[in-house]
Amino acid sequence: MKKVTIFPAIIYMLFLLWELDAQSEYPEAMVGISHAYYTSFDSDNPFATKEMLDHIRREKFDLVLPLVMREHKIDMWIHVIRPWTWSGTEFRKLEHMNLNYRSIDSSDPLRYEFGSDAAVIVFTDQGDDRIERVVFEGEVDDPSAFDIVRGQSPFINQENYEIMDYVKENSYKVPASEMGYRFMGLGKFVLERDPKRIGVNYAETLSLAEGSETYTLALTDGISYADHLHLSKALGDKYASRMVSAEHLILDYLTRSVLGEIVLFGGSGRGSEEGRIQQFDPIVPGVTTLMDVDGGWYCTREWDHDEEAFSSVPLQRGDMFQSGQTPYYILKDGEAKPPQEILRLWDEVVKVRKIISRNVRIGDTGREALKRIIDKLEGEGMAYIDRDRYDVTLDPEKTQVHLDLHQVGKGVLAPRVSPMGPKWHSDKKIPLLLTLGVEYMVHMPVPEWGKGKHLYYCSLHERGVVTERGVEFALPPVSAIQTIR
Amino acid sequence: MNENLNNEGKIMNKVQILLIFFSILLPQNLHSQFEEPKASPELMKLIREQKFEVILPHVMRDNKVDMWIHVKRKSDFFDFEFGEKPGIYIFTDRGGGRIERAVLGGQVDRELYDILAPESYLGKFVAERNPKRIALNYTDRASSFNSISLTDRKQLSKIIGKKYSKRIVPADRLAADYLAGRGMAEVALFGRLLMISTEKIEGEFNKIVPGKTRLSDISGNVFVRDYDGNEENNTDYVVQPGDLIGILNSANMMDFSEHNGGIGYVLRKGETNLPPEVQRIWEHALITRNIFRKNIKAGLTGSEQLEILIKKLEESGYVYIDKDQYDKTADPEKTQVHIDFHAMGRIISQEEAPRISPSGWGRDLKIPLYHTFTFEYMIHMPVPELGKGKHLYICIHDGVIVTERGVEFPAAPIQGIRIIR
Repeated sequence: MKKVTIFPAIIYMLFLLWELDAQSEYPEAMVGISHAYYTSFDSDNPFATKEMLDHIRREKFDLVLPLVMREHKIDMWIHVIRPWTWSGTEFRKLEHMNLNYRSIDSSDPLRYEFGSDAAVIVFTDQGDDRIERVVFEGEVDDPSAFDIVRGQSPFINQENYEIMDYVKENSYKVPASEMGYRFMGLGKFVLERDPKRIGVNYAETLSLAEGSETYTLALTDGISYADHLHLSKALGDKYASRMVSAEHLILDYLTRSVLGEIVLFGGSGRGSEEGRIQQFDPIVPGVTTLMDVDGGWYCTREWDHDEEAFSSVPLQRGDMFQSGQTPYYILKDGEAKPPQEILRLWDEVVKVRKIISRNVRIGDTGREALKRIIDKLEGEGMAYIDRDRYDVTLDPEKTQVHLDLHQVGKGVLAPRVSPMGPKWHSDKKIPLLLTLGVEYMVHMPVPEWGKGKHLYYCSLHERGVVTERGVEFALPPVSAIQTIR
Repeated sequence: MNENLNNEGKIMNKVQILLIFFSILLPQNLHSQFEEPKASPELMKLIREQKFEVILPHVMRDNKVDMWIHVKRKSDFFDFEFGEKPGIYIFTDRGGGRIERAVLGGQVDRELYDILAPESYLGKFVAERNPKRIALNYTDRASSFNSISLTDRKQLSKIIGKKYSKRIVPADRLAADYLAGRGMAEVALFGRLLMISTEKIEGEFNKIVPGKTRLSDISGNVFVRDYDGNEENNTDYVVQPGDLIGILNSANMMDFSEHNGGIGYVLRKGETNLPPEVQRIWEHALITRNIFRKNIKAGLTGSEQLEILIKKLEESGYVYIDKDQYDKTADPEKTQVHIDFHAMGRIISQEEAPRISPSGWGRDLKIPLYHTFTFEYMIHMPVPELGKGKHLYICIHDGVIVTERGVEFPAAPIQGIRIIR
């Protein structure tokens, strides 16, 4: 009898443990963002929950939406996310994680902001301090963030009985092509609101796809020709003629963060270098390669350094390399700390970081910020290089710095403080609370080691937030070179 | 034989007890995904450096102070900002965009401070900089900022001489402003702490069994008020159907702390949802939240801000009350609202910081940009159908930050009154 009572308790405990394991591995939705956009969010950030993403969405609706719509003089914004932006490939990969966000795999730039992978969303400025939010058609992850959610149209999926019945009962209303179902009723909806300028998600000048973070996922240019055709028809001539591209509105909406986003940008809060530092198996000089230690690149370099040639070259004492954001130096026999040259490199890195953080200003274009930083770097005796390559023709006494600071977290790299990328990246003005990947590369010559020999460090994406006071870090940047004995 | 059976029975009972114990613990762990953060050296260094870089120049210039001397002999409330080590901390505005940071007679992080020198250098150090106005860690009012000892004060005056002693002023306002200033690393920390305390509150509500759980069984500041305004607060009062329970709970990292609130309603027999009067008081919570959110901005003092909020509340048909007690003399048709928007973040700042409230000296301080504080407001809603003076009470306590755009919630505020069955 006792065994009979104990057995269910054990089963219950095992079930709870299994549940615990399932929930703790991937707490919620933001893992999708982590996978899609590298370095913007920690994949293990427990604070990146569905509730937080929902909260951010509402804050942006309240605080950012009225601002950007009015700045662009758009009183209605129609954003169409067609189902084909969602391939399902990535979703299927992440399926076992019990995520409740299907939008993780859409290539629409606003999939997280609106929480959908297929919908027609309409925002209307009706004059007060709040913008009306309507899901005209389709499904969203967080319906309560919207004022009206009309739900999934029975006509969108045309493999169902509803459409058969509809066709039978309303033969006179059936459109010439089934594509006509897409925006059915939208004309009346728009007429009731009588907008003067309607922003629609198609790109006119911005190469959103080519200018997005193509390491991971290229964003869509927006609606198709067919959509535009049918949308125009649904709106009628009067309102169709009021349609304009919403490309700049979309970009502004994406890049203006609310504080909830800054909280997530600050990471898991562990903030410790311990988490960032790799735990290596003991390095055997002359045997262990950079690849063995998951290293990114050598920091001790010749003038014509070719990183590819080095990945399988064994590490030696006196080498410096970088893994992730962290630089490592392997002490030589008899050394208790890195030599002066290595320490000097770190001083130069900190100096560059400070120059950058004091010279990025809200309202500057990326280009203006770049110029200001270059002037300051040069004023401090450094040389700016527009490519991330050591320039052997420059003054061998001067540290060379390359810059590629850009927006992170949303898939587009604009605004961008860099010589790289499409022109619109650098044209874009820096907004308040921009989440900025502070990426700079320092090449410091070490003439005493020989001509062209130099040390290199790349900050990757230190997590900066632009405020009226400059760049403030939400997460501690790397604070020192790690030594390996 | 019987004895063996009995022993086996006892062993089995112990095993069963243990299993049941662990089974009770497990579900709590399941839902506890956040941990209170540890103050890593890197994060502390970032916070300190950020404050030196972006807050210090502003607050010294706002307070027209060109030298700030903080004599620290032991651990004090500036451990979080300056570091824990004793010493004479001197900040000097020598023009340009930054403030010189020096420590005399202390061992501190060399990367954070420009000058480390012996204490004996003090007189020369001050004379070389020739400050016009020197703020020192004392105040004429009863305050935690009164931290320099009499001996140190006398000694310092002697060392710097009459000329500079005359230029000494109390550093209380400057200290309060500095403590209230926030860099982005603190903003992110504040948001994380809010999420942690929200989760704790959820956990406490989950514990409640109507008719069995006492308020004292629940962790945090737990309170229930009856329709006459009589309050049970962390007492042995047993939670009953019809109660509106408030729970405040906190989270912190070192001396950086916040507390947050939740509200639950215990369904009466036959009820399946919140009764109309409870829904109505929640609607008032949302309406007033909107009023506050739209009408607070950086740059005004706490008392100026309070006047604006009172006006806006009254325009919207509410009665403002300066005490958290139902005013029986007020219009019985109108809902009464009390406000105490105190600072959050640094523990000391809950008292000694800008405050939008009828009480506290911080009312005279300006609300800085990125001020971390609480929307703490209490709603007393008359329920005339129950009799004269009868009213419902809730207390909202959400963490907020002032930005250039107004008030933002760095983490989700209370979403509603939760139902307890």
